[in-house]
Parts: sequence; structure tokens; C-alpha cells
Amino acid sequence: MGQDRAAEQEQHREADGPSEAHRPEADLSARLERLPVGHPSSPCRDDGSRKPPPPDLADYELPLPDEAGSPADSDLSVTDQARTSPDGFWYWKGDKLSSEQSLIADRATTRCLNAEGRDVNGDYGEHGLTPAMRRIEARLDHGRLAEDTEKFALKDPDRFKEKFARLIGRYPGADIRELVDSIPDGIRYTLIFDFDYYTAGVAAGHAQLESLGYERIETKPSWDSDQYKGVNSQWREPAAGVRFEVQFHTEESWDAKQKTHAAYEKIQDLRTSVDEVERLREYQRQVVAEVPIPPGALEIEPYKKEGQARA
Amino acid sequence: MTEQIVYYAMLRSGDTPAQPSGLARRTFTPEGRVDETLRADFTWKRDSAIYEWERGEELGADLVEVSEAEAQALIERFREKWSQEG
Repeated sequence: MGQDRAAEQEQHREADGPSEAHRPEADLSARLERLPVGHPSSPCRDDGSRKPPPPDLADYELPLPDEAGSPADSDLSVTDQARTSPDGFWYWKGDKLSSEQSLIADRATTRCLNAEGRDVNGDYGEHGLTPAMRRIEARLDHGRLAEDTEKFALKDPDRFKEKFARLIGRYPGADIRELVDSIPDGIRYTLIFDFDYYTAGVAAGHAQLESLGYERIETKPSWDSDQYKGVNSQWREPAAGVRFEVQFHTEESWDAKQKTHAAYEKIQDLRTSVDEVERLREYQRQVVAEVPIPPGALEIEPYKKEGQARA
Repeated sequence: MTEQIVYYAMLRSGDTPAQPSGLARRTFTPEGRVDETLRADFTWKRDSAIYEWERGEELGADLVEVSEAEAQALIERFREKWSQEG
């Protein structure tokens, strides 16, 4: 076994051409190859077989939203498309909805569309959530809405159905109309605050939303999570009772969310193998570990409206 | 070696840990964590619910860890409840 490993290592050394040997990464690679069996940094396992290569972080990154053609809630990681059968059944990535369930989801996304505020031409007036969020933005001294807010305010209808299908599977005894109404992010916004003003900005954002008559359902701070950093909140607009989500980020936490979004989607994809999920979680942990925590962010209080689920 | 399993009651609006709407479990395997939820036919199916809750980005449901005995009692309760509703 040890001889096999030595031969394998020798082959690797021979594969490194002269030009490679002068590159720092080639030097490092060669030094790692010479480590004894059992050393934690050795590229080989104790039995001499080679360990799988570490994940290439670039494989899981999405371009940032300010780069051309890069949606914040991207479909780029999904190669297959949702489909609806002639009898109205909806299918995507192993999830499915009956024709009745699909219709219920369609009605819910229509309610979201109406509440969001755009007209049939995609233009906005005074009515609706997006114009209201723009008014809130104008009142914030150190915060702004994320780029392309209007483009991403409405959740993609197939992603909405995907979430609905998963809720139906998880809660077999629940009323499906209640389930569809409980989806919090059919409409969603992101407010980004300057680092030093973040905690005050979260409070100011909440106060502005409440001053416009929106009912707070939940505030969930996640600055202590190793997989995601930010504060997500859920609200209900009083006119039609439609729920919407507002996320609060710093520039750094927003960037981390963008970078890890494809990995997050892949983790949620039930076709992803268990060991791949573990690698993706580790990748997310690495990205999120680089996000600095703004002053006071760890003290932001969670909130859940009376009557909502609580531990 | 016995695989460790952790159970979670899944709470929706108005639920309590004693009366949740769903049940999830995490099995620690040599390959990694396998997360599943209990389905209407009382089989376990892979699901990212536990991960979503841990991550913190998803809103709505809360998960509360329960013992294996509590999980079994919940399964029996669901068996009665879901058969009546189904």
C-alpha cells in the first residue's frame, strides 16, 4: 500500500513540468505531496488513496448584481425547466402540484402582483408596495434598496410553486389555502445599510414600515448563523392581507448572500447528494465567516407576532 | 455503529411544541447529515427544512428538538389526525 502511494506521488511529481515548479502553488503542491501518510494536510488518506480535491469556490459563485445579466435570485444554477402537463399538473425538480394546487398558487402570485404595485405596462404610480418601499428608502439616511429592486420584487412563479409544493409535503394536515397565504416572500425587498449605521437602520426600517400601516409578523436576526448573515422580516399589507419580506443587510452580508445563493439553491435541491451538500455548507461557512458583524447587530431582538409559531 | 438521529417538531402559525404541524429528523451518516420530513403516507422523505431553519434566511416555521419518544407519540397523533382529515 505504501509503495503504491509512493509511486502515485512520484507520478504526480513527474507530471509537474519545469514551468510549474516555479509557481508558488506548484511549490506548495509538491511540498504537500511529500508529507507523511496520516498528516492532516496530506493529499492522500491513511490507506494511500487520494483525497477528493477541495471544492472550487468559484464553481458556486454568482456574479454580483451590479454585473451585467446577473439576477439576484438566479435561475442560472438550474438547467431543467418547470413544466405543466395538459391536465394542469405542475412539475419541477422532483416537486409537483395537482392542477387545483397549481391554480391556487397562480391566484396567490396574482395577488402578489396586484399588491406589488406595477401596472400592466410594468409602470408604477403611488399605489402598491414597491412605491411605498421607495418612499421609505428616501427617508433613510444611511440605507438604500438593493439594486434592481423592481426587477426582483416578485418571486418567480415557478419558485413560488416550488415552495408551495414543499410546504404541502411537510404539512400534510394543513389547509393548502393557509399554506399558500403563509409564504412570506412572494414579494420581497432588501434594504442595505452603511456598516456603522446598520443596527440603527434596521430599527429605522421597521419604524418606517410600521408608520405606513404594515403589520409586522416576524423579525429573524441571523447574525449568529454560520451559514447566513442578515435580518429577515415578514410583514402583511392591510389592503389585501398579502405578506411580504424585507431583508436588512450590510454591503458585505449582501455580497455574501449573492455569492452563496447558487450553493443554497443546490443544497435545497433534493437531487444533490448528501456529501455534496456537506461541501456546499462548508463553502457557505467560509464565505459567511468573512462577513464583519456590525456594532450591535448581535443584540437585535427576534420578534414573532402573537399567534404565530413559537418555540 | 448506530447512526444518531435527532427529531424536530415543526411549528407553523399558532402551533405549540406539543401540537406541531409536522415532524423532521436528521440522521448523522458517514457521508453527512441526511434531513427528512414525515409525509402523509408516513414515510420519511429527504427535505431541506432543517437546514433552512438553521440557516435563518427562511421565515415562517420554527423547529423544536424533541426526543425519539416524543417523536413517536407525535407520529401516532398525526396518524389519527391525518386519517380523519384525509
